[in-house]
Amino acid sequence: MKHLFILAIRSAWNRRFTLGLTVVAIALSVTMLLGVERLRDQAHEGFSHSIAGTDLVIGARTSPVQLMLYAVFRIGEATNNITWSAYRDIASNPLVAWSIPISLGDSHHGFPVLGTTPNYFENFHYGDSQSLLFSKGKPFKDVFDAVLGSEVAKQLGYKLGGHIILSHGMGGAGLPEHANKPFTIVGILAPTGTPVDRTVHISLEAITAIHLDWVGGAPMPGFSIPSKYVKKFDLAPKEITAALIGLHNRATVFKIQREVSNYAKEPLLGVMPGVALEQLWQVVNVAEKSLLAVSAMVVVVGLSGLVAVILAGLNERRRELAILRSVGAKPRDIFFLLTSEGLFVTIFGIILGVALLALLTIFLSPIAQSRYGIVIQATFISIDEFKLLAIVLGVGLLASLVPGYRAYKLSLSDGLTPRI
Amino acid sequence: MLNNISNIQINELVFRYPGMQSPCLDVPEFHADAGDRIFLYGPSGSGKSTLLGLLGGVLSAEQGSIKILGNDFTKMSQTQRDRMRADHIGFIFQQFNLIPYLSVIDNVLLPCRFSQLRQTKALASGKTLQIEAERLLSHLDLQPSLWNKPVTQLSVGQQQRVAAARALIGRPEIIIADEPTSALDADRQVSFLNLLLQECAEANAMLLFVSHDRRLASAFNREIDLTSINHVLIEESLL
Repeated sequence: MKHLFILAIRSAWNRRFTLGLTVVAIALSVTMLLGVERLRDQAHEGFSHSIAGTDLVIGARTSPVQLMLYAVFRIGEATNNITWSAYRDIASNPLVAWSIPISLGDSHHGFPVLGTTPNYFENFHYGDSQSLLFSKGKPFKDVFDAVLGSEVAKQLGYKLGGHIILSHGMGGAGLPEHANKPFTIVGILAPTGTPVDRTVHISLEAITAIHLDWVGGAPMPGFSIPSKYVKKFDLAPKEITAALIGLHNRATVFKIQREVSNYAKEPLLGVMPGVALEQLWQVVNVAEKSLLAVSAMVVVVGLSGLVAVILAGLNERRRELAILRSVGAKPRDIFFLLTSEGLFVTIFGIILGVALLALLTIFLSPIAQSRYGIVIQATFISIDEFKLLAIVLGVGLLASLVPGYRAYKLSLSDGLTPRI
Repeated sequence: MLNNISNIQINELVFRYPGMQSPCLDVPEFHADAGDRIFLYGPSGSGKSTLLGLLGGVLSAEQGSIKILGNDFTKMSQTQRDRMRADHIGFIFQQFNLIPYLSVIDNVLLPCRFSQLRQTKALASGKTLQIEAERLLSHLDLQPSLWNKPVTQLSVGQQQRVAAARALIGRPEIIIADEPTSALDADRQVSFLNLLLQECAEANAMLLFVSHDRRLASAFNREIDLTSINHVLIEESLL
């Protein structure tokens, strides 16, 4: 057996250029298959990782998924706000342990600005119930103080004591700026691997303050209130976008949820993060499944290429097979030789594919993190991925049986004297 | 003849390709012994390839017997015949005898990979397989400078000598050469033939040399016209 293996390897090496292309094709298909699977996994994990300990997310009535997307993941925008009094009504319920009001809508160089209260830094949890830590500085205290997420500080190169100008609205360039009200950076948070890293945190009063001299989404012409005078105005928030609620006892969540839904003064919605995420997965499940199916088809195409290449080369190798038979090779040795050749190519394709994926992960994870907030970790192959690879190998073996069988038949009919 | 067993003994052998009406080969009797140097000739289509296939055990006869060193191929399985071929027969073909992706030495050593017996015999003759292969190559006039070249860079004559070394390694009892000189020019034909005969004598191997070039026949001690032992053709020519 060993010498047949060596023969198969040397024979494959001899045709390394044609087989090499097949290896690359299989490698790319494996990279795609694993990449889709890994992206799916990490996205799920990233979303689940982003929020912990929050029992209910409250916002204006919309779909639960949409509320989660904009309130927790900063994806999309809120269509409606809720009034401060509605928020206070819910938050003052004795079953509520803590609540975090959230006000969104402004941005800084594409990073979302979040207005909240200082207890955000105590009560917000993520991952396995970890709380936010400051790598530098402290929570905001003054109206024009800002606390940056780690990515914001890193990407824009900000340091404590620096000044930033916020823009009105979400999105990229060309937004009107709150130019007359610069903020001072007083704190920078430690990395969390969640949307917090990409958020600029300011107080709810600051949100009110920067919009004092604005009307209908634009600065009031010929009218500007400088920073130093804003404290003369009432800065209490009138509206917020959403609120995160933590309860003393989780079992009471349905009671509160019902209360929120039945709130008479305005239409509200309360969603449990876990339930909303489950709904989100159901929505994207179809897309994930079809993506996985497409990648599986690509693998099949790659392996068909392998069969085609080995079969095409077989005719030129009939003399070679006859020589091997003349020195004593059995027809089943010939079968083994050709099948193992296909198997080698598959194995190399898989190894190269996994290596390629590792490289891609290393190069693309910073981009995925900064652009989409998805943390892709350069993990070792997971058990699920291992199963996928085993399936690819199995299909590769099945495919390799085809040239193996063809060579077996040829060597039986050719004997020692192939008629070419 | 010590034990009265011929290297090759054929009796009442009839062979028909599957799906063919008339037999292709019908040999009432043929035998060859250890010291024989047989020159076998015949026109194309006289059944040479078929006979070689039967002697090599890749084809199986339906009637009669074909004994190699006393073992009847017609009573053996395909695997047993493959083993017999590996252990006892060395083949040299017309051309393209070598595996292109193996070195000269590895080509020579191929039979030792498939036959334990020939590996043992080769090791009995040389200290290592490598040394034995080099000994045969030197005997066949192949310079050491050629041993590490890719086989595809050798001339046809050099390739045929590598093939001869491969057929001879591990001292098989039977060497079958199928038109081994037809791709060589006249001078090289003679020198190749002389080397082959000399090495067969040294290894005490029987040589069955198939050719249509009867000018070479004088070097052999038996000269056989295939049409004289294959009755299929006799019947056809009588009709």
